[in-house]
Amino acid sequence: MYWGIVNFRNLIKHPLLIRSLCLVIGLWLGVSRLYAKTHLSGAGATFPYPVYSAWLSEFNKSHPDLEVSYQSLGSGAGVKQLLQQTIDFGASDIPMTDEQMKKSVVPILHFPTVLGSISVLANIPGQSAQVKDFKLSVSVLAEIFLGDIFYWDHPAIKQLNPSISLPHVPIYVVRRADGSGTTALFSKLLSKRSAKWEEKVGSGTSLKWPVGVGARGNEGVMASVIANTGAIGYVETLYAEKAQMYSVLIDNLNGEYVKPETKSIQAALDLLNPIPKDLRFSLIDQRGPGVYPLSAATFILIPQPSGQMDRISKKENDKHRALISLCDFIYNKESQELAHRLGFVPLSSKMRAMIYELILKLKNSRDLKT
Amino acid sequence: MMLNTFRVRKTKNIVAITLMGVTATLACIPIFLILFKCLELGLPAMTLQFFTELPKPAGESGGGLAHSILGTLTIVTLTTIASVPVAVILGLLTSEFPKRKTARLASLSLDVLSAIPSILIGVFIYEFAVVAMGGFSMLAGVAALALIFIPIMAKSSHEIFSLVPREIRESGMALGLSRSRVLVSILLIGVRGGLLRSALLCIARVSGESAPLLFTALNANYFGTSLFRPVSTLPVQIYTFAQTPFPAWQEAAWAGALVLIGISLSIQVMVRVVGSKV
Amino acid sequence: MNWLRVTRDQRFFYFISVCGVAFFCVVCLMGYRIISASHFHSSSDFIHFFTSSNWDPVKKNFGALSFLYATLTTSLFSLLLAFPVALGASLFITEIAPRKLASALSLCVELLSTVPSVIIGLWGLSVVVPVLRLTVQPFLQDVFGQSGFFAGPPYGVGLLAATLILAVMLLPTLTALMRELFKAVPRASVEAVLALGGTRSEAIWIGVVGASKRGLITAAFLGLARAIGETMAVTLVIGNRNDFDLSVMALSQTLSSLMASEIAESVDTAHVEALSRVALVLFLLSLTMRELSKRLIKLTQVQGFSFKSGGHAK
Repeated sequence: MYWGIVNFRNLIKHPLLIRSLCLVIGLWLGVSRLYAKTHLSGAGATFPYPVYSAWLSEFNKSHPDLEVSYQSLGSGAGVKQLLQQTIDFGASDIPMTDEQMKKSVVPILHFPTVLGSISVLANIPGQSAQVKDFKLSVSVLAEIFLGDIFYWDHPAIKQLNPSISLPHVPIYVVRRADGSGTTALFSKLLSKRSAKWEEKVGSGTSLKWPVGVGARGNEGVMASVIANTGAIGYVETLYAEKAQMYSVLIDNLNGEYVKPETKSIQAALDLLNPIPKDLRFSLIDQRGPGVYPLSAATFILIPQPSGQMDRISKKENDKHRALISLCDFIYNKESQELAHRLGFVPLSSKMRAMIYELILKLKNSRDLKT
Repeated sequence: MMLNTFRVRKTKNIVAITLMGVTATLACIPIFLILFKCLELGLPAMTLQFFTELPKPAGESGGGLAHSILGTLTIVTLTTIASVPVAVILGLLTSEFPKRKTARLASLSLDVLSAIPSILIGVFIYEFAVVAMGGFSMLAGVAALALIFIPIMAKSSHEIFSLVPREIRESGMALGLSRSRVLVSILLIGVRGGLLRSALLCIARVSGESAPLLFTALNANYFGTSLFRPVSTLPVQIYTFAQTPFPAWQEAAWAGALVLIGISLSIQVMVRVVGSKV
Repeated sequence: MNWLRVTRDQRFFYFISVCGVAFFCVVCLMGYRIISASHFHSSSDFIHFFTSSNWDPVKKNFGALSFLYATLTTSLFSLLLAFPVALGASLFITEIAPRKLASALSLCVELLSTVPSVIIGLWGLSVVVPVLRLTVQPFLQDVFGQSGFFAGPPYGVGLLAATLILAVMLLPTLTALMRELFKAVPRASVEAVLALGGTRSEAIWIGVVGASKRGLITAAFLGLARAIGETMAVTLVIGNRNDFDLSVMALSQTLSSLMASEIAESVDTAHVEALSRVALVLFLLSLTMRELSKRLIKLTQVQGFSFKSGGHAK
């Protein structure tokens, strides 16, 4: 019996080949059956990547039947993949816009996970040690990122920092190349305070940057700023702290120069009034004392299963349950403490209460089936 | 005057030959630079941990790329199994029946496909396999890699078949065999060595591709055992880790680069060995 | 169709044709998708896309001129850099070097083609870019002044880095193609020049290179096609800036690096459409280059010259 060059009769007689092939295939199938886990894949913001990767590592260990993976592709990619339903949960530093929510097939719930802030990081040239209290006002920042201020020794910068000697070195601007919630938040502040920025660039996850090197993810910006003297970039504060770099002090609406720390970020959250019911809020540029203007919350985006409850397959049901246990895990005490240990700011209790209501809503939508 | 031009030509000769030697040296330098850099940064990171562990969370030290290595091996094996038969068949079609319409269509599509940059193939598979199937998967990655593998191997199979002298086929038919039997049992068996060599070369090429996998197989933090889930592969993982500021991950990226180069080089060696035997 | 009456040969042919046609359908599907997703609404839309360098996802204004410029300049200049080096190296290897040295040299160059492009990009980012940033670019600015083609702060990444990296990637491709070309030139051409009293280099130049002119042009086109389609290595070193700049040190974005950067995150329809158009342009450029080179090959009909996509020598 022939098929092409393969003589099946002879082949079957060949003991080693057939048996080893069967062994391999059998092992493969057996292993995947045995370790049949529910897989969740998520993607999105790079900001919370340190805490999400730590959380997921713990979660995967404590839930051996689940496997959750997170790829930090940027908030923009997270939203898009979620809308195209290629991932199970997304993550974004800014809540989805109304336009994006309309595009979704199923309603998407926003769960703020941790608070953080965006730091402006400056690799100031000509300094022998790290500068602790370097000040830059939002208007100066806008001009730097517009390309209007080109050198470190510009009078506007010198005026804010009289005690630091700045050389005539060009400013190496670093910004995000990918669609990023960090970018959206940073540009939101610049748009609010600088009419020229609003007109020329605007705010959003993907911008038409006038100047600056594009780096991928918070990680890329961080690497770029560290590697290049005279560089300036914006990253989530955590990355700065991990590299033991000092953040630049920025002026808030009260005129104070504030640095990003737990109390200035929590001040921003406390001043948020009213809190929208669907929890799609922004903490940028809150008016009040001691507020850090670039405070932000980061969200996990979870699709609520659609109305046809009786037609959900077992696989989707498993996934939904996995998502719920993920939520429970994120908001329990140990996880929030882990986040705090890693440098993120925990949510206020008022916020947590609202979140528990949302989780309940998520659970109930599933119970409609059973 | 005549003497002068002679001297000029002599000098020109010497200059030209020196230039050629210089350019030859220049052409050889980059590979050494690259190898040295990879060895310098990658060798220290190639511990047992690297080959057996999953990566640690961001910022922590230790961990490895075991899942990426396994993922690359799996996806390349699956791609080879899926692509080699198709490529050989297409090569047979275009070289043995060149005037038929279907052969012309196949030839045209092979040409077009080989001209498409690999990123576009990834985007195309993204639209059709990922969005349609509702997730990034190893299968989509295999499809993308197969679309890169097949044109190259089909073309080289075509050439291999063309090199076989006509007499072989004629002698087969003279013995009373049908055309299909001749092609399959005599021709294919005769060129086994050549096909094996080109398959190995394609494997080397495909194992280093990362652009088509970016949007199809995505990436993962666990061992990829399922066809329908994202899987981590070395090139994509290297691309991701290389742009992070975490030193443990950057070291892992360089070690991964060294492993990739090692795979390519060993396949090249294998090709030469097979080439001399068959 | 009565299957019993169909001969084995016909069955075989139908079987392999089905594969061929299925493959053709896949490719058609691809082409159809790319073309339909990039439909231009009007002729002014078409013109705007190619002449505007304003790529603005916020204001939904998409013009691809800067990417076209970056792609074409990096490819052309990398070809200009790599071609002479490849020419000299392959001539040296085939004509001048003794056998053992020749095989060692050709091995070195061939090995370069086996390195995956993401690793070359990684190497570029960690070795070439710092050298450019700290040494070469300030030097160029000192010599040529800080304006015109050398304006802008020395970032290291950018058009210059991308050109250099592409040149490194083109070297093995071009060398392999040229070596095959030169091997196929009959000895008589070289010996004829020597017999007339030419020097060694004159013999090589007139005899070998002169006889392979068409093949060299073909090789150039193939190299260009390869450079245009290269994604990973370029994305890592090009700086990812969607704007138009004449400076050699400018950060930029090529058509392929744009695709790699923005495909995963383009949500609104206008953005996706614009990216599909970019894909179409990229596709057509690569295809045209390869078709041109194939037509030229048909004209040369040099025996033994094996045209392989990617140009790996056998």
